Amino acid sequence: MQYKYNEELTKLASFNKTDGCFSDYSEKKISAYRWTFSDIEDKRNFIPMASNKENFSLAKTCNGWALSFHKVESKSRESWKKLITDKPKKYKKIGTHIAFGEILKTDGKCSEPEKSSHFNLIEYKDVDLIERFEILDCLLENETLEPME
Amino acid sequence: MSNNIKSPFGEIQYLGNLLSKAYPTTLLFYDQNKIPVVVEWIDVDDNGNDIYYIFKTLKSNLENYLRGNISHLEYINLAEKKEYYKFHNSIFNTDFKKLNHKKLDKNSLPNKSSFFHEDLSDDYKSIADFFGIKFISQEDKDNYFNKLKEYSKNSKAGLFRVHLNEGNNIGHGTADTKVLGELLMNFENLYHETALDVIKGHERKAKINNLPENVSITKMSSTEVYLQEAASFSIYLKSKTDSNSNSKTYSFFSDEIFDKINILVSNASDKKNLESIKSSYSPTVFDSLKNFSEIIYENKIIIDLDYYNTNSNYRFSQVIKPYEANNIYENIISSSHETETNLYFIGNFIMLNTKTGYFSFLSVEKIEISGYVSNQIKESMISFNFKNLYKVTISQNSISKLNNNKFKLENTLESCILEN
Repeated sequence: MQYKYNEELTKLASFNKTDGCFSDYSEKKISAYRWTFSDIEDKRNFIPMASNKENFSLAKTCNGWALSFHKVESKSRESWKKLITDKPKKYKKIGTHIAFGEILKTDGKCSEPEKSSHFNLIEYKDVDLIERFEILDCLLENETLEPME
Repeated sequence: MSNNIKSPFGEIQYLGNLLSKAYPTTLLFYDQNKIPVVVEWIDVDDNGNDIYYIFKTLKSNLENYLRGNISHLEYINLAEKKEYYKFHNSIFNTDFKKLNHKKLDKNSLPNKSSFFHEDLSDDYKSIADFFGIKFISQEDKDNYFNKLKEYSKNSKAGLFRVHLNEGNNIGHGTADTKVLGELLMNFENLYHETALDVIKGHERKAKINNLPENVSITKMSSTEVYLQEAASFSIYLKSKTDSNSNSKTYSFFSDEIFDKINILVSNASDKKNLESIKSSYSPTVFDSLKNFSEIIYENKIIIDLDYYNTNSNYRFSQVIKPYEANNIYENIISSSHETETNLYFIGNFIMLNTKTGYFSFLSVEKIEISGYVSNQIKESMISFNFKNLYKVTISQNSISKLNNNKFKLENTLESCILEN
């Protein structure tokens, strides 16, 4: 199966002089939590960080082209909070809500979940996760936070 | 990335992302003299442009940040010459505007409790390698633990090692007497109070555990220095009574005390975890831990706590970094115990304020109680008077700080019925 960002990943393998990315990833059926914006249809919700040209540092890494998830809801909330404690305006980049969905074996390949329950998914071509994810809750607690555009 | 990038600090090269896996917000570069240059993502402006700050810093500051000695905010504040530049979107071909430290957007900077966490970083190891920052290997840790095992075997007792790994005025085999003195005094208090919890129970009402052969509670709840060694600075402590006993059960008392301290310290840096264990310790234990963690944080000490008992093979290891000590301190002072009970009285009102909802009630048994009327019955308060006899239900909420026996009572009048 071809990956969604196959062209970029092929270039990356050639640049890094490696056989390719994600050799230790595998197809999994797994429950997943992801940070999103308030509207699940928001186009920013399911794009990898490396596709943003400003993130030049990530375009050269395999993980930059994967999507980030958590297996456990409480761990996902905890990680989001840690990041906002570090950069209070970061919600404008990573999302304001938590969404839940199921990743299927036909969606792509996943990394093994870490201790923090975080794992990556590299999507196969033509996969659209929006249809299978629904927003659970808003993560913003403080009403004084600046409104999103 | 080998391309040189023009910056206010001369040509720089990209090294890696310090934070975070979720979105790169702290990027590390180096200049021609291999001095760290940091780029911090700060915010997005009204036009959707990303705002970044760039500054130069000392390697020692980076090292202190990575080791957890200073917070992210302190790290930013320690920029060389307090010189910062602001730019938008891309570091390539961009305009850099010089900023005074006072002009930094304080609302977008890290919270003072934000410290480096390796779980959030992809590249910290390669960054540390580049700048020659060494972390202790697992092999070194294992060897150091084996030393403790050896000493425990020689002393035939459980030994607790307090290792002052790094910190203000801590060197190889030396430690500032004031810092060491305060740290040990506060640890001894923590041990003593935890031991009393083990011996008498956390409510300290009755003697729960039977003490063996004529051992005094004072001795049982005290430690003594077994030895000191120069490895940064290490002190080996043991229960004051262990060496005098031939009883196996007896030596396990110190296992129980140190285990209780270990559970407490492991959980107290997380507010949720602290909630789950707060009823198992007395206020004086929390107060001792608060003071102990304050010393660690104030002196920016990384402290390794290891325990091993050759008789039981019981062991544990843990590290308290300054930021964890700060979390422990903040969590203790911001937590409380709350208990709610319902009280039932028959009597008269002696004061009523319909504007504020405040009331005072005198029961027929001459018990006076004051508080506020609940929102549910506030509207009917206007019908209450001083002549009639009422049957009231008052919910009493008792709130006490975790580290203090003093409590505050909050009374709420939940129901009020005319008594015939």
